Amino acid sequence: MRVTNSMLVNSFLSDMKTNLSNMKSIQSQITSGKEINKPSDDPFKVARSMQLNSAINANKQYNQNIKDTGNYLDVTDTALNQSENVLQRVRELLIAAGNGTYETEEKLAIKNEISQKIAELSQDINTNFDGSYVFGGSRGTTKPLNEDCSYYIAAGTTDAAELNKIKAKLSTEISPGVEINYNVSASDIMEFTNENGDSINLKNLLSQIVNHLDGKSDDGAIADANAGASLGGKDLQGITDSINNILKIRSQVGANQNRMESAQFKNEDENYNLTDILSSIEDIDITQKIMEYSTMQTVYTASLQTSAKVIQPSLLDFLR
Amino acid sequence: MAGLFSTFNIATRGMAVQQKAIDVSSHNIANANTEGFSRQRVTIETTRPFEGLSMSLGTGSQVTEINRVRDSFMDYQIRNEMSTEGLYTTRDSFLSQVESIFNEPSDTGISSLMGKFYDAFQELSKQPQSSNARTVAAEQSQALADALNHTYNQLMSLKGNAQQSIQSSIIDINSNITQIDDLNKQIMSASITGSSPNDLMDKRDLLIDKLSSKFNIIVDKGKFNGVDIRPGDGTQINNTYLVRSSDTDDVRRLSYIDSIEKVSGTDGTYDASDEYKIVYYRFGDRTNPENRQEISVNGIDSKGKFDEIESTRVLVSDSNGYAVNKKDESKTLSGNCSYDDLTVFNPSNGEVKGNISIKNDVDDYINEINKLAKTLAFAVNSIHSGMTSASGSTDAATPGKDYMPFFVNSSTASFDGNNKMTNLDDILSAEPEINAGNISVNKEIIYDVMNIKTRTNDYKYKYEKDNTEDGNKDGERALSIAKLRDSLIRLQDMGTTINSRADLFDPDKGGSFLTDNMSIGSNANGVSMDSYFKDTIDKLGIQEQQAKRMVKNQDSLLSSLKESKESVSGVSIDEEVANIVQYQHAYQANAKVISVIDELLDVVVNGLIK
Repeated sequence: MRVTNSMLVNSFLSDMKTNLSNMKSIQSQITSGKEINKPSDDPFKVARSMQLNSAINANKQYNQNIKDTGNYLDVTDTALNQSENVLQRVRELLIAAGNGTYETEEKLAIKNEISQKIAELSQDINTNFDGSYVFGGSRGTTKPLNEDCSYYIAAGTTDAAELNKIKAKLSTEISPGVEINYNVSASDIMEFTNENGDSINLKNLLSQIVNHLDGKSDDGAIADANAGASLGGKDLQGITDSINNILKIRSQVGANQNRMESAQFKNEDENYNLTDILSSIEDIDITQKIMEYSTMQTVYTASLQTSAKVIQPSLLDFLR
Repeated sequence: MAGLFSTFNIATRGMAVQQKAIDVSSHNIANANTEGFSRQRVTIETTRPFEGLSMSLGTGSQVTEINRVRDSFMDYQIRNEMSTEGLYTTRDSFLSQVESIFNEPSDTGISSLMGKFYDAFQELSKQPQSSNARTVAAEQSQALADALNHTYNQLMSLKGNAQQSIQSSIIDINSNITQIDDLNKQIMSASITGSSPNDLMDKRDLLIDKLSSKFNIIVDKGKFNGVDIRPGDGTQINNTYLVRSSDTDDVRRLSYIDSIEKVSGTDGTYDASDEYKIVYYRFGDRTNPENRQEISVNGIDSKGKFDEIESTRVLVSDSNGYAVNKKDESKTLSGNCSYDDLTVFNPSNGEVKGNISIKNDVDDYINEINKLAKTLAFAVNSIHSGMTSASGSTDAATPGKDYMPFFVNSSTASFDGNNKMTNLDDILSAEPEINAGNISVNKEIIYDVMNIKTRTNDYKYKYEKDNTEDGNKDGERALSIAKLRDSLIRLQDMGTTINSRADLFDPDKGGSFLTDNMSIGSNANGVSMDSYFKDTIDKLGIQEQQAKRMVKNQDSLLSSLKESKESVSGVSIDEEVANIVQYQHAYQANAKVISVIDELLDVVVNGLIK
């Protein structure tokens, strides 16, 4: 086949173009650290990488949700613990007051302390975390209880509607499609049924106790000689039931806390796995790439050197 | 006597022949790097011998022909491959621009903005009483809407660029054809006299090569070295010759359609009686206002026919640029005509085809982000308001129409100085026309984030503030919006069978359900918005990869064909120099013969008689 000078030059130019474009693509892979930069580099890998990125990001959000829920549950548990302690003290006082030997002054002292304990209970149930009242249900920016442990209903609102808000359940998503209710409402503590099926209202019970300590009837209207006996009887039983109720609620909260811990563990594990897969798809093996680059560079330099020697001389150099 | 003087002549002729041969070699060397040049060779033959004295006496040499060495089959192969290369190079350059527009995979693309949108609503569902969480949710939604707007606008302007390319191609093509025609005429008139106009033919071949990368052409040889060129396909008329060797004026040119406007008939439907005003420029040249031609066309009764005109944009015209009538090729179009009279030019290869196919593909991508925007708007608005229809809800528990739509059509929505909506009914009836270019968050929500409905019973009320049933920590509705991340919706039908919010919840069309006026259940035949967008990117990646691969293949195929052509027609400097040395020696020898004859003549003239 007849070969001309321009054929040599053209073939050199086209191979040079190939070499340089190979070097360019390896260089961009090394500098970005990723195998794929545009969808056309490898459409299948890009699709996979986008999918994994979305999953990892969603996972991060769920992680945040789990943490926030865990914090909320911790605060709830602390408040329940403090409420339980308050009721335990009231129980001790009742046991002492049920002792028939106590005189009026002692009973007055106990009554004062119990009044304070009622205020303390309402303070515990009005615990505020991160701007919202923990036991307020969906009525988050308004305190659930008054100082006397009755529900706080603002002027101009209806009791039934406000009570619904306090009883509302809040939920959050901790993994795709999985929601949990994480709040305890004030009404769970204040109104409940005991193991015999009787419904008990803690606020009424407490005001009943204060009335009995005054020697009056349940509603404080008339004097009642049997008030003292009730203190050690049904009042004590009511407080004991209330304490059991709080324990029951605490055990549910505890179970939820455990659930959050294991959900977090699972979430972080999943995150680790997804990131691992993403890295195996997207990231380059630095050692291999650098070796490829050196090889490419050697080829490039060799082609330059050889071509320089070939395309230069011609017959004219040798004619005299 | 055939004496010394005839020998003189032989030597003189010899010198002239060698000189001409050196001329041709020097011409070759001078053009060693000229593009499209094919080397020329002299054909040297003996002159007619002198018959006499019962023997044949040679009388010297002459140059009978100067030929160019060229393989025309190679030319044919190269032109075919150049058309394919033109097609894929155009596609590659536009598709890589589309890739940059979408900018995936990255942290700043639409895919990650959608993730952030869902995250913002998750946070909102945990803290709906806080204006911070609400502001973040509103701003993140606006960021997503902005990204969709931006992508839409850039794709539209890319489409405009592709159209512009067609117009400049047409101008190039027409001027190219005119030059080829001129050369053709010059070559034919030179060839009639018997000479071989090699350089002109080289020039013409170069121009034909350039033309072949624009669209596929068929080149036939005519008499006197003329050629007949016509496009390989793309028109349905009989006489499609662009350049001819006979009847040189009965040729075609190309004209560019500048605009197609519907003059009568309803928008969005295609009926045979609809009138369209088509403005085209003769030869695609917009600089001269006399070139502007207007015709009125009817008979476009399907979207396919409209798309064909809209995407190809080129009409075959006569040699003066007036569009030819397909039914009767001797007439041109004017005034009122029907679709069947138009001769659109739709080649199957070359840059022109590349531009046409790019416009179609970019249209597809625009369609897909439009579907995404519509789905986002319909789904979020229906959960936000708890109503399956924007303004005609028959559910007695709801206020009947959506008083605070979340996503609105920004080309219809108008707001007063306090950023309140002034035309709610228009906004609601414009909801079906939401697309990626006009989707935006309701300004009333952006400027007063407490308007976002996040609570369980918000669907019963016109505005968020009217709801006294739910506490302000109720974020169930916001959680439902966040859960759209995993909802399967029939995105594929958006824009075709599903055209409004109500259609989405129609069991025969969208098949989705709005449960408890709050959450959208998944349709098993649907896809999630995320994965639909991913599919779009997939398709883009595969198309661009194919274009790149084809360009690379064509490059290597063309370079091997060009190498073969070089091997046949290329100038080898070494060879020419060697030839020159050869001719130089022959010239010197001939000159020596003359000086010998001179001495002999001297003997005869001066020496014989004293």
